[in-house]
Amino acid sequence: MGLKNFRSSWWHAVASWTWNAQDETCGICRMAFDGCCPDCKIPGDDCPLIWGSCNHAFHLHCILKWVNSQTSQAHCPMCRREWQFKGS
Amino acid sequence: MAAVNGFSETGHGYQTNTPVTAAAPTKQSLPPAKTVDSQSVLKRLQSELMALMMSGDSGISAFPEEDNIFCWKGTIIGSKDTVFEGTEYRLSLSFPNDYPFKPPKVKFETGCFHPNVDVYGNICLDILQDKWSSAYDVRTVLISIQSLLGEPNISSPLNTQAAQLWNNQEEYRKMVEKLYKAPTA
Amino acid sequence: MEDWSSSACNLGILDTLSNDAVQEIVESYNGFCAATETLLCGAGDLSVGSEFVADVQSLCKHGLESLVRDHFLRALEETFEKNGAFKFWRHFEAYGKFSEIGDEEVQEVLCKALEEISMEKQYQEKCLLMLVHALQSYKENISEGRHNSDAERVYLFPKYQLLVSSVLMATLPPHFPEILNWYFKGRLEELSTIMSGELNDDGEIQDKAEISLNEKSKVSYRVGQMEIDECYHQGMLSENNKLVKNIGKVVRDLRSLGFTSMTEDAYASAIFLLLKAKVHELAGDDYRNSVLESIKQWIQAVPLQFLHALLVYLGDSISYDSVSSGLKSPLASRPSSFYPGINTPSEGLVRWKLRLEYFAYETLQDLRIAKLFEIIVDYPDSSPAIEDLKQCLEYTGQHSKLVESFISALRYRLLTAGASTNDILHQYVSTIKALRTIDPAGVFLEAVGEPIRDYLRGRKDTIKCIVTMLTDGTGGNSNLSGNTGDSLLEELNRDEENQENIGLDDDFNTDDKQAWINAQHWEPDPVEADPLKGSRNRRKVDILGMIVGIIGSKDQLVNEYRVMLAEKLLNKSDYDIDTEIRTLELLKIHFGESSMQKCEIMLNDLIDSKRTNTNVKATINQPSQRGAELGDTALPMDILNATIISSNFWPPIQEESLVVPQPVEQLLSDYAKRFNEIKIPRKLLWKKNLGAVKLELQFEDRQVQFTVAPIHAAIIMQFQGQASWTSKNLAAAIGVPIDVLNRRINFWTSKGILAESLGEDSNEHLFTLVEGIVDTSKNGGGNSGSREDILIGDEEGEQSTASVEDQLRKEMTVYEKFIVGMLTNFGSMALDRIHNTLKMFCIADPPYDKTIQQLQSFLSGLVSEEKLELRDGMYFLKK
Repeated sequence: MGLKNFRSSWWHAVASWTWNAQDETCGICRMAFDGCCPDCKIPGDDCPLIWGSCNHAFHLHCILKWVNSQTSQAHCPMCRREWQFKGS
Repeated sequence: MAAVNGFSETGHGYQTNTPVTAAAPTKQSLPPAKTVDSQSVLKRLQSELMALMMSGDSGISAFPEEDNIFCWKGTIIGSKDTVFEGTEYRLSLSFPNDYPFKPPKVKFETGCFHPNVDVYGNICLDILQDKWSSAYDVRTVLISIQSLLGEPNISSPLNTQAAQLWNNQEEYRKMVEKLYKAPTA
Repeated sequence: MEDWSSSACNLGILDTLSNDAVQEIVESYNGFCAATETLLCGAGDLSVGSEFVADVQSLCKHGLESLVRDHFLRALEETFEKNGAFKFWRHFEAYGKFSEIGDEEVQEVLCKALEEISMEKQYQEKCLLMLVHALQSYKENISEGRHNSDAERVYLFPKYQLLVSSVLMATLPPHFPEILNWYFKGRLEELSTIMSGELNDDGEIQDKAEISLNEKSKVSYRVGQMEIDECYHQGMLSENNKLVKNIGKVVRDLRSLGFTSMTEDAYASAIFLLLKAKVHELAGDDYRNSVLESIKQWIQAVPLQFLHALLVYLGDSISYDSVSSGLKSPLASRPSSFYPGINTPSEGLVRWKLRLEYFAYETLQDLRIAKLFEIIVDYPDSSPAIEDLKQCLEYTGQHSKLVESFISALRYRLLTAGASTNDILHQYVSTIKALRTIDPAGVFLEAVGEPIRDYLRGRKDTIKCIVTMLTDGTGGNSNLSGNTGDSLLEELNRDEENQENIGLDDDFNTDDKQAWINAQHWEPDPVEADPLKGSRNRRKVDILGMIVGIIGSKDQLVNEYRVMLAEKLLNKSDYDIDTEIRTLELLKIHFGESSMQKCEIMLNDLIDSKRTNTNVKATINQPSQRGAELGDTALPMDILNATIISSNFWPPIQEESLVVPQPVEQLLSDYAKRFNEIKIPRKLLWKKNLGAVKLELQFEDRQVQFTVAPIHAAIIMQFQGQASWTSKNLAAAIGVPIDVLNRRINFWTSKGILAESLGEDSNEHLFTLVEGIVDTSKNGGGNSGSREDILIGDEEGEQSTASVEDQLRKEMTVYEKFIVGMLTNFGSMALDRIHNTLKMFCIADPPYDKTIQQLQSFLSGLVSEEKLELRDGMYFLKK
């Protein structure tokens, strides 16, 4: 075997990103989590997900609408527990 | 039909006979917190329609009327092994501009002899009122109504005659058959 | 004597006559007959004149005028038959039907024959005149001058004229009209040659025209005698006028023999023949020059000048109409102002002009239509020919001819298995471009385009070719100078901008179109009319619309574009998407922003990826610390770049497992970790089979570079540590199915880097690294690996995205569910309501975009599957 050296001078890879939520779609708007809420056009940073303390995730824009539409304490639309933003 | 004249009307038309639905106006009379973007309601209803069409649930179905995606017609078939078996009911669903943050208005269009349905077709079901969640959709609403048929809430009836008869399922079945008129196109 | 019988009516008179009188009559009659014979048969011997007159008058005295007239006319007829007609026809005996006629000879023979018979006729006329005088002077005597002096002449000459033509017509040989044809053809060609010489000198034409104008004003004639004042013709010095004069003489002679309409036919057909030949000569196969003007000029210069001169010579340019009865009347007259040198042309000449022009238009049109296919291939260089054709068609209104002929040419020439989809598409586009000149409303373009569209719909690669043509620099216009490299889309956009700039004052087009539709009985298609294509767009031919029409909907096209865009973007090794952005912007203009939303996000992903990539690499814990642990195998993060996609907005991507070399794997996981730190809680999911890798393969004696797909890199990297692999082991090592490996490894064997041999187990293939390869031609001098190589050579037909066809099949299932859904809730629905409801609510991906006819056949399918019922035009669910 002779002297040889194989190397890649560059490697251009492809990946997809995901919010890594348990569900595929937002329970409020029915749009994919890895897509965006109906009010947004570009997914990703501009249309983030947010988790409740109950561990249910929603598009931030969607859950804010829900919370604002409730006159009293808002509940998680999925499990009816009191809505608390996770970590807050 | 005439009673369902728009989602902004808040059901004043029939409140004399429907104490439960009359509770709704207090909330609905408040202006929406945010300016409503009907585009997002549209998207949601479209994706619901698509999901509903593709789901293949048996015994429930719904479809928007003519050219208005905010007004749907629904169909529920009475579940097996209930007194409603073999009957088919037409419903109307109308969606508010701030759906799904507010529930749709759902009414029977076919007469339904049921403890929680009045003669005008109004339905007493908590998830259509204060227990509404934006995670509900047409499909879950229809499934809930379908199961309500077999499992009425006797404690707060809209139709007291039906509530009283409920215990006698055989008689009840006869009554259902007697009063039933299949929906027409 | 046979003549008695004709005089039978006069015999009653004889009974009342005295013997003397009878005697006198008999003598006079015999004298008259003899004199007549002498007169008519004698070669110009008029010496019997006085006896003749006396006999005539004597007979008249006895009331036998009509006998005199009848006998004389009969004698004239007999003589004319013998001396005129018989001799005349004998000249032409030699030129039977099948014999070739020499042009010169015909001219000579015809002129000679005409001269001869005309002389005979003139002589007979002189004799007739003698009779006229005799009868007249008798009448004048008895009526003492109160007699109408001209009555006899007016009575007898037309009778004679009729007699002459009857005799000739009765004995006409069948080939005579052909001889006339030949004659005129020859003369006109001669004239045309003279004129074409003169055409080179404009000034001379003008002169000539003036001469004929002067000539016209001075010509004097008397009706009936058609005598031309010869002295003015002596002034005509040009050959042209001499020629016309000769022809005129022949025509005049022929007319005087009663061949008026035959002559007319002959020179008319000669003119048309010549015109046809001229059109063919001028037009030929040259499509790059307009010929219509030269044809018109030629008509003006040759046949019209000829006819003008002829009509003037014959002196009946005004009464001309009456003799043209044998020919069809030209189109409705149209004011014409182009008569250089001929002011206030006679109506006859105007008609001639219209007839000739119509004929020229029609001839040119037929010529161009027959070659339309070639003309369109040659478009836009052939636009002058198209412009000519347009004018011709406007004049003749025979657009349907074009449609029929072109469609059959298309079927024969283009719509065959041998033609590539690309060629067909380009011809289609050229057809649209070319024909929209002729048909700005696009009405018959629709008819011509339909067979092409139909045919293309049957080809699998049509959508792909269309998208390529639209968006690729090389696709759109193959030969527009200066614009090469532009996509068709760019070109369309430029067109549009130009049209916008021109303004919107083309409202008349709407009426044009309506007129068109009415005229052609074309059915507009209100069902398919897209309300989005507002009236403004409907007015001009929408090229893009016609291209989209092949596929049926823009959504399918957009979808295919998205698939191709994905393919392109995923194969990029940089983040340079300027071209794609430009194309997307153009597509947005044409298809609307919302249709292109997903593509926009895809491009946005590339932009974001670039930013994120920089960010990740700038903030990552440099592997310098780890370098010690991992030793030489560690790779610097520099070499890794990533495209990070929002997969929801991309077409479905085929994922294949792949084990990449460990150092690369390490980089990927470091990268993903850093991404997660920056974008928490977002995560990266590598699609290891996608992307591109640049390899440097260093051998003892050479170094080669390749840009390859990750799987190729994974394969070849395995050979660094081990020179030989069985396909089974290698497949396991890189984590791909063995058939995938066998397919992909071809790339390296074809490059001469690996050699394939059979292993111990004959089912096993053994791949070995080729050392010290010398065949540099095979691997292109050591730097052969371009992206193209891989894509064409190795991965033909392999796509990282799923095909459009699969998605199409899915669509139909969706429609069925929607139809069942709506019928469940509405009971029964008519076809158009189902159609409208689907349009309104079936916003699948792509949305419902079928025509009502397509829907109908789909519904019939469901009916035959017994899922639906159709009663009285209403669809029901079958229960």
